[in-house]
Amino acid sequence: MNLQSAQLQLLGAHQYFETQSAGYQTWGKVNFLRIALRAGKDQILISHPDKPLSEQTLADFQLLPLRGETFYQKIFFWRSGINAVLLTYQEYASQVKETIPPILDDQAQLLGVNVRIARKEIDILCTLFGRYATILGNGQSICIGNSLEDAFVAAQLLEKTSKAFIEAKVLGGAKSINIIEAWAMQQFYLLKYSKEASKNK
Amino acid sequence: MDIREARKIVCSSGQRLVREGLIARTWGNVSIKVNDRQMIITPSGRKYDELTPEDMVLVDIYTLKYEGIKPSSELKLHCEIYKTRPHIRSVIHTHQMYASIVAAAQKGVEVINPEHQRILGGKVIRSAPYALPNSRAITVDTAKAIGSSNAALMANHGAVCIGVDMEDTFHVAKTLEAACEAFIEHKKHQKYGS
Repeated sequence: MNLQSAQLQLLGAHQYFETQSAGYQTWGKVNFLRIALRAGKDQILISHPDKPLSEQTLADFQLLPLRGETFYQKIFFWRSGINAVLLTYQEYASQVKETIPPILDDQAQLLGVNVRIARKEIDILCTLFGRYATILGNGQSICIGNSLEDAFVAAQLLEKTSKAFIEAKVLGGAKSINIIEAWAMQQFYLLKYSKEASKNK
Repeated sequence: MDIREARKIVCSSGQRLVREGLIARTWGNVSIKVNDRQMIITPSGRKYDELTPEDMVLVDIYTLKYEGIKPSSELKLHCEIYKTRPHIRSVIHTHQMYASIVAAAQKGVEVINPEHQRILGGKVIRSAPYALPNSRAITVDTAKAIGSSNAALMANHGAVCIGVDMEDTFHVAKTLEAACEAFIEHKKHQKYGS
């Protein structure tokens, strides 16, 4: 994605989230706090940290070099396939204080073998390793994807998984899928199923 | 049922699944039985909002043969249901929220509301044990878990709902969601009080 496309996507992100969120109403509330997009080979474009997304203009966006000390820069630098990073605050994910094991097939396929907690900012790259979502110690979450759409779905699925994990406690707790099978499902999703949208025509 | 009409219904039903929050993205699948030997089912891995009726796949229920676009990978489950429950004309597989919570706990649902019992066809909706998606085990065990009712949970996966037509099947899916939510609330009440 070049800088101009990244700017356009960032400008339209709020409206995109609004229209897409309708189908996820029973999954819990997801608030999008900050968006970062890869903009060309060596830069990232990031939204304003404090202003609501709906009020932001081009002047609010910050262009950062790919190499740097923020966790956004580190994620883009070390995960070359990642083009979108979302910082969120989510109704159910914010209540989770422990690793969520693989409890749903769609979680395993899209988010990875489990969802881990990053207690400190320095842990984020590690807790995201081979995964697409992590919950932070302060209750916020980071969801990543190959595109803004992928990262958005990761955020929604993190909320569904967190809700299932919390609400199932009253039923005796969610039961984990075998972690090897969860890994195999993620590989199947990444290598085969996710490519069918373009191949199966 | 006319095949062209069935393609239209299946296509719009896939989009409705997303709109009503019963699935996300490309997950889930929908089918209609068009005659004693064939069904129309949604294709594999495609986004519902990009599909047209022509993308829906005609499949032989007994041989699993099809032409053109690859059908949903869960087609074996749909075929098994049509074979074991001949009067059923429509099947939908969802990843709906409250059914997923109960499925994650690998429990069946005690259906509390008598109206829900009538629509779902039983006082308990069973959960099929966990098995890998598209496996022989998930097909056989899920059809068995449905039994004579109109729905089953699939452990750690989602739910499958059946009906005499698509509208009826959607009604079953929405009722299952309400029944699962009521079951969870009932358990909370038992555990924590009001």
